[in-house]
Amino acid sequence: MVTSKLTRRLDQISTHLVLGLFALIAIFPIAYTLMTSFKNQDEVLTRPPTFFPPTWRFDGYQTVFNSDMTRYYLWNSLFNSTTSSIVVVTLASLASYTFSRYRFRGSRALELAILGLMMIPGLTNLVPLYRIASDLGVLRPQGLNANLFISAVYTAGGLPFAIWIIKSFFDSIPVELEEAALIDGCTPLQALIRVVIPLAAPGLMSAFLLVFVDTWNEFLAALVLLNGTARTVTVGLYDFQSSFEIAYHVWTAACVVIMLPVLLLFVLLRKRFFEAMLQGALKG
Amino acid sequence: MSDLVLSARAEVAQRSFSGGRKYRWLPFWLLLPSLLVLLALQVYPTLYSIYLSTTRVRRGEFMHVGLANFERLLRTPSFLESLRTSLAYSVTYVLLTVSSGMMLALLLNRRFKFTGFYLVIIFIPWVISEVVAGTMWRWLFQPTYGLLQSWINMYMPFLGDRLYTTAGGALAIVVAAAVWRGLAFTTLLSLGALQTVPQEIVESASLDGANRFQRFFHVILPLIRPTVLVMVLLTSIQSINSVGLIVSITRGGPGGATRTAAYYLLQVGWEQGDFGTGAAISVILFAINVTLTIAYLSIIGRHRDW
Amino acid sequence: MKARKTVAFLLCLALLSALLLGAASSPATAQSGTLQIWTKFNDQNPQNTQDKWLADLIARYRAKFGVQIVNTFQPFDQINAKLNVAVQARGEVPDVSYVDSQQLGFFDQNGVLTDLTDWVKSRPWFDDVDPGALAACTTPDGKILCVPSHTAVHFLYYWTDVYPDGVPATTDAFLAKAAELKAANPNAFAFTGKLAEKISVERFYYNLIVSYGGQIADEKGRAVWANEATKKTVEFVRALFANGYAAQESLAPAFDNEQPFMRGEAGAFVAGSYSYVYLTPLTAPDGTKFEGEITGTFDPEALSVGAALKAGKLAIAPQFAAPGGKPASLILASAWAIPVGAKNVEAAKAFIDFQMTTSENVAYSTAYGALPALKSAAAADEFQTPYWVEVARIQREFAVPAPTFLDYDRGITLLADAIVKLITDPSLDIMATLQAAQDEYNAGLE
Repeated sequence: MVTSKLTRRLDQISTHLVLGLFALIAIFPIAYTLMTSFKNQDEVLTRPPTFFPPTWRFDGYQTVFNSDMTRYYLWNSLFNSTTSSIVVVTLASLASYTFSRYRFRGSRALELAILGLMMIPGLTNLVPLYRIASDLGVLRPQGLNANLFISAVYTAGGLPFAIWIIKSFFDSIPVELEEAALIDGCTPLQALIRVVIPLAAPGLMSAFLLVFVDTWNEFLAALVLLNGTARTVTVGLYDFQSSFEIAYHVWTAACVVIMLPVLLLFVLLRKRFFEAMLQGALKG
Repeated sequence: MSDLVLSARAEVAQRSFSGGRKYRWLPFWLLLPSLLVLLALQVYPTLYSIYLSTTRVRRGEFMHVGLANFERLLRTPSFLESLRTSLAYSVTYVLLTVSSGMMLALLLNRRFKFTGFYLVIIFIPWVISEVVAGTMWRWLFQPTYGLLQSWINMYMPFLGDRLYTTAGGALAIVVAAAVWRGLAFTTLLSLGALQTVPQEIVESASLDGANRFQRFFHVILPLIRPTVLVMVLLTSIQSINSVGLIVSITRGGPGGATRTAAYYLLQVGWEQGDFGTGAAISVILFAINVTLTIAYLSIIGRHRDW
Repeated sequence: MKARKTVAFLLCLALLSALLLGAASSPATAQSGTLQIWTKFNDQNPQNTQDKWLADLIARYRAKFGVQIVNTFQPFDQINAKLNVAVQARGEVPDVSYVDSQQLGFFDQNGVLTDLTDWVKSRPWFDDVDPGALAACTTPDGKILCVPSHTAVHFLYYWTDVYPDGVPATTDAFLAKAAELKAANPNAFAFTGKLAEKISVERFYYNLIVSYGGQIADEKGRAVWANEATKKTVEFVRALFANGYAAQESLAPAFDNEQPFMRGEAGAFVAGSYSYVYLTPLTAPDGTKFEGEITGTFDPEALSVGAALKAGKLAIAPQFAAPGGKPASLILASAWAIPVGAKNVEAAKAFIDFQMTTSENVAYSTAYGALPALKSAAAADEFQTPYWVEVARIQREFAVPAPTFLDYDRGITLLADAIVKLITDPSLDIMATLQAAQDEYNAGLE
């Protein structure tokens, strides 16, 4: 009994050690980025480098808050993420309802085909999308047009996965509830809106979050389709990097500003994230 | 669309849904918006890309060249090299993320204290964008002022004093950053799968005298094999298509050592403005993705009984 | 029930049109009184003297001509590519765009720019344009595709603490001096500069290859870089890295290579005259600090480089050359061009005419940090300081035109990658690697 208790204890300690190590690795680059963002140019480039800032400064943040990052890019990203995730969840709910409740010739094939769209590399569509944007005349940075268009692109990108997730949530809702609603005189559409959607709300939330974060982090389409003040945070950061001024304290401050919104969303709503990813990948 | 025949999934449903002929068209209307968006912004651009891959602009003239772009690509050493780089990148990435993800999941599944906390921490890199993550890793390995590089110089000099600017070192940094970001995904998926494994089976195996490794390889692994396959498929596709980390860490350097096929596409098809060749590369990448998926589906299909 | 269906359908349509068609209902037509331009300068949120100059110019132009200039800021490493895409997609192109003259072959190949030959030759300012600058905008078959504003060459900035007698003029002498410096301080570097990625060819390798008597492209636009001169260049650079004379940042992406010089840890730094604007703050090897502002109007002494030059801590010199050879420096012109498909060509030409007046040319060139393309502007007081006199001398004596690759970016990318591969893997055979890259480039021309 004594030995088994001892092994159990050792077991526990080693498990915590390994997990702790991985947690440390996960958090370390972020922590160092945070520390760097509070240094100034001189303190960043020291030999040997230091982890903590010798004094806490806000030079980097000052630059970032005076740059296009906070003036335009953050708002553009916020607009794109919100618009596309709301539209995706709306459209995907309707489509998933069909896939979950109806069978018609080819419905399974259509469902698979939509899922198959996820295999198209984002890179494949860039030049054609540029052409479409250019034909529609939405490449000029002035006004919302460019961001409306890219939100539509993100909507198309997020739909397949969202349909998959939301359908698996709908599948788990017993059909008897709708039946009852229909008997009470609801139309199927009303049944969907009043009965099914409230019950599947966590699923919709999960899909919303995934699309929101993916859109926030998207880089390639934004690089190609957006110009000037219409750009988003990721492209804005890339421009910081490729410009002549090399200033890691500014870049890292920009990194912190960019990741903070999604980080907060994640920490507050982590359950929904976990759910979405598990639903999406394991069922369906 | 007159052949649209409703058939409900369950008998209960059949009563309620096929009852009203007036709602016959409802599923179609529900699907329509999604289908239109997908057709306009996914299917059409892809078909257009395939068309573009058979064209080329030379001396300001737009020409139809058939399969010449593909032929030329397959004779271009730097493209073949980028395919090899993609392979090396993907294989190491998939192996590392899937195996360490499963290991972490096994540990987390023991449900000691704080496992929820660990999971949250390990998951954080996943929500950080590739460009931001890349900037972080790039800064850690900056040759003279980078923190990790200076620690390596002090404590692990055998790793080399200039990782960022050597071919192998740069690739290792990119892979490390990718694994760092991707680990959350495989950990969570593995954990989800492990939680579906009935505890009794594992216990009975351990009563039979199986040790921890035997239990994992002979009992647990066969049960979660579908998930492992899904993870391998998804991480492979991810790594083949992604460029964000490479863009922000190495820009394909030094000397093309980290230029994967996807980055090559960005460079040729976008920066150098050769749309025809770029489209041809994208078609090749698409074909690789499809092949992987079909292989996966056929494996899954053959073992329906799982 | 029919009504409901119709409503549903209309709703769907409305949703879509809000996203797609609604997005198109923009005032895409060119209004008279506005001029669309693309530059690599950010007038909306000025970060340096160049941005500030553009913001001022836009205000000045509106006051003077009543024309509103609408600028789209494109990052410097994307502007040429984006212009090409815009023209090829027959999309919205600007009326005037900033272009880099070394991309001329690329633009010509893809038919991006309007041929301005006759118009340029008819202008009153034509005779005032520096022939070297004009040559940078002229294709091998004589078409003038852009109008040069100013020209830049690359040379060495160096700390006089490290090189009190100047930087050795030849590669051999430089290696000897570098060995001496390394022995004195193992942490210091003799040199740093952009030695990886495509622009390293423009800034460094091409110049060295020319000084060794070689070329990298022939008059037909084919690659010819597999030669003795390139081999000697590679051997020299290999020696720089193998012995730790050059900072590793030289091989990093983007502009990390500036840091060791700005920190006073690298003695010499290869850069263009325009680097004047960016290098701040500076710390000399002896610890003296120069912390200039990069925003605000252009005042050379307010910038770190200007202050360090004045204090005698910083100096410039032509890049080192082959033993017995002559230094060389690729001449780059910043230019204005009218893309194919521009809607407002007359307004564009009026803008270029205005830009080619002496005072405007002086303003743009000082803000950018380059020598004016107009001879009358180059004679202005602003360019008579010791720094600019020396820059002008280097350009006059050592400037060489950009290589004439048909696929310019592909050419310099392949060459830079081959050289970097040879540096990072010293076991590779120099000639075989260069030959392979050359064959690949030439095979891609078909």
